[in-house]
Amino acid sequence: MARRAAFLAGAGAAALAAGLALAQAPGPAPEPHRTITSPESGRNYATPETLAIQDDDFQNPAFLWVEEGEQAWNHPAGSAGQSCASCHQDATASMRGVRARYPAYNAAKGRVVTLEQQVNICRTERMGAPELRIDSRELNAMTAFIGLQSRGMPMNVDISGPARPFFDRGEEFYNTRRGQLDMRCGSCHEDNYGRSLRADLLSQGMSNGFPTYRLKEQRVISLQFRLQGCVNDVRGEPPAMGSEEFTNLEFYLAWRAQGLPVETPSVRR
Amino acid sequence: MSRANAPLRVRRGVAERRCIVMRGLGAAARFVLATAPRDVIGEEGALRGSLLLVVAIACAAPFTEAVAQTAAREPVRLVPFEVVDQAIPRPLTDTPGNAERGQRLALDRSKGNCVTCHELPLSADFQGNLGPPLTGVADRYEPGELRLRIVDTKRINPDSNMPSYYRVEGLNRVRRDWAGRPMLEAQEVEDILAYLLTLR
Repeated sequence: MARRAAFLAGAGAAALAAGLALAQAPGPAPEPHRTITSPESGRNYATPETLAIQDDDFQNPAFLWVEEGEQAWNHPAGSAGQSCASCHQDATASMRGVRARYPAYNAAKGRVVTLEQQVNICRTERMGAPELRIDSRELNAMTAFIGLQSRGMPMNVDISGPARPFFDRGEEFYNTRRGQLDMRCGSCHEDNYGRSLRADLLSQGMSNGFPTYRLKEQRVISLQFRLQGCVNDVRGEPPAMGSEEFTNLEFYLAWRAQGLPVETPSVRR
Repeated sequence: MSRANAPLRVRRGVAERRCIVMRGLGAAARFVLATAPRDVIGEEGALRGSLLLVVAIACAAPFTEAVAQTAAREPVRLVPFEVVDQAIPRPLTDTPGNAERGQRLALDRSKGNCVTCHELPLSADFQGNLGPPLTGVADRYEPGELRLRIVDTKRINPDSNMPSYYRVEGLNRVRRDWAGRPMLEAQEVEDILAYLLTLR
């Protein structure tokens, strides 16, 4: 009897220890909360006139940028005498799907990088070429060209493992009220999409069409240029384009749009 | 962007000019002390010299303060008001609100900009619908209740997306050209309120 009690006690202690060990083992981070469970592309909030321009590659002015990007792809730049094509060859094959999975964690850098930043990493570290300014015509041309190779593919960024802390910071930025108007990104793009700010129909703020040809600017713009506009509109102090804050936010936004087809280069009002 | 930064640059220019004036006064005082002959200074002269220095510093003090304010962006002091039962019963100013001016402010993008989110019973090219229509708002609320909703509606509903038009504290990373300033002046709050009270 006593022996049996001792055995049970021992087994209990072992089970408890095992349970504790299990509880302490680092498991995968929980799936983040999705406010919008079925995301809608900005095209659902665009006028038929705007969509007509987007849906015809010969009308879409962004294809001027795409062509410039294609030329730059094949043109050697920098001290190494290399072009993008020297390593990546045919972009239609090698770049297929890239836009859909960016921003992405870069192990060598130990942080998440945007497609723009990855192009600049290639330029400075492989080609011996200077960085292109974020949102410059040259860089937007390159990302429009690279992005086009993923058109129609579902957004699919990887937020697991070492990428997760950067995602979490992006999510926090998204949900933090800022500026004199004291609004979070979701004040418009989660709480009020489908409603009007004067003449502007608010979208869900999905990023699957970037870089985009913006009719208001009469040029192709990068996502972070648009983000600066949003922060500015709530009379907040906008972070710099290419900053860690905006990069993490862009990462979070890409995850929000997960599953939506890449529309690069889209056309927006 | 350039438009956003302009006011700051202008203010900096003013501050710099004041700085130069201040430095000039200080230098003049030092010059008097340094160049006055020993026998003229004497005991009385030293006293007069120090007095001059004190006067120079006193003159410069307001400028120094202005410079410090530009650098640190001290929030402007708001007119004090009392919240009673989710309302601000007493006007913020002695001058009664002007409804005509209030309507202009309600349409002005850099002021009330009410029509961006609310429908108003007037002809505007486009009217927003994030917030409730404001037609009949004077029938639904007392003046004091409306005043608080303009001043700081988050005191009623912290989750509201409506900006607080007369508040400078507790905001996060406000754009430099607006830091420390409320969206509306006290009189402008009263003017917009006067306009809203015509919406029956």
